[in-house]
Amino acid sequence: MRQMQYLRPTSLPETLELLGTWGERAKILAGGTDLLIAIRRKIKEPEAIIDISLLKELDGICRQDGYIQIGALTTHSHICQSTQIAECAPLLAQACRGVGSLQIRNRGTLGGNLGNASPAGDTIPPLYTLESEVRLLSSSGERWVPVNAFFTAPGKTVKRLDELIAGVRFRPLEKSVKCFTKKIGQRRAVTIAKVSAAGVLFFEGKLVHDCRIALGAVAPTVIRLPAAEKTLLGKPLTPERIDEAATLASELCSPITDIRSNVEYRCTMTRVLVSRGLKSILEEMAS
Amino acid sequence: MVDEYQVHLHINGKQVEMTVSPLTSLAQLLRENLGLTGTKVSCNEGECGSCTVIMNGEVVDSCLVPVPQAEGADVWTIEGITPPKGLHPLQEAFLNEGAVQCGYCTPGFIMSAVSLLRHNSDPTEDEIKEAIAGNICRCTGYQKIIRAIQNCAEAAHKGEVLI
Repeated sequence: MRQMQYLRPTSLPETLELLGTWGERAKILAGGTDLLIAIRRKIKEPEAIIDISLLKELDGICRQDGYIQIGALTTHSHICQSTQIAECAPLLAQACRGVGSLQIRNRGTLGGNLGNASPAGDTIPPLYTLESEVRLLSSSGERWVPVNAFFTAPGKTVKRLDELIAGVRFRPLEKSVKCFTKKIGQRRAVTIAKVSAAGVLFFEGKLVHDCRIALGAVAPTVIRLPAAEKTLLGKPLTPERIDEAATLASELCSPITDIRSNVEYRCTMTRVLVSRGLKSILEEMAS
Repeated sequence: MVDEYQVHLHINGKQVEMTVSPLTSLAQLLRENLGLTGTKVSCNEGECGSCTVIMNGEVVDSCLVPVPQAEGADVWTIEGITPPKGLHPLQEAFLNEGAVQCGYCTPGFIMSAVSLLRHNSDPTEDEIKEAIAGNICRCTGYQKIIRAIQNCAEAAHKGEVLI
């Protein structure tokens, strides 16, 4: 068996050239909290590993042209601790706080969560509700893909084999925007989601002006729920409408039974998490 | 193309230079190349935290750090936390509370607790739990571990001990 090559490019152009050469025979290594496990379990057996951790330009959070941009190498810890994210995308910080353990959050990256493409990925439902775009780089240039068009199936994305996930961008949320993120797992920490939910609600006075709800781990990819969102639009948020939206959400999801959970539990918890999330917004508004 | 990687880093305050295969984990480097076996490897998947070390001021699972990514790093292990004579206040606290049974998880917990108290000198019980969520103990049931950390935090907050 040929030995796995370990490549550690020192620049973005070098990295993109390597990706062009190696394509599907190589896997990208950032924090390693998913890839190294997959390699040890022989789930993934690349001929080469391209370690991108030296590409400091891919690390960090900034505001540019009215967008918040997060580089692919930004760790979950960094996002949790960022005052920028706390101000303008608090649900993303909260979701990152739920990733693994502190040890994992200090190493795992946003780009890795996207690249791993698990429908249970903690950052993904919030990124959907933020209507984020994923930045992809290759030797032939750059493109931006809306996050809700990025995933095609569990573990699969539209990223080409010669492309690198460079980061995401989204419009910052105003302080008046309400949001939630919920996750249920086997335990309160260090757990993969059985069901996750995120929501962002824009209000005009008492009326819901725009509504974005996303679910994780209950379909082949994270999904938005336009039908459930529609039931809330243009009206005040009430417990009755929340129950209606949450019930509809549980009918719109298509979970499977796997090692973590079963269909019935996931459908039930979809309703519960959406309900809890929307009710937390009601409570926040009441106080 | 890299078959062997020459790494330079600081471990417990000392400069270390070593050539290893690039997929060697930091945990393996510490244990097998340097004989620092205080750091344990149990799950080898970043779930149990027995391999926890402090790297560049943050706790990490050393089993998941490939050595090239520790290039130039400042790494502290349980051996570096233990003073030349006697014990670190957290080690004392663990022993006094009976928070050590088989002891296998203990170095990892101590490293997580050291890092917590260095970042947050007055943690709440929930903050302690969040800080040690990445460390698994199969023996104690965690209550005494939490109490030991609380006791030590209190003593440190009063200025009685240094973390």
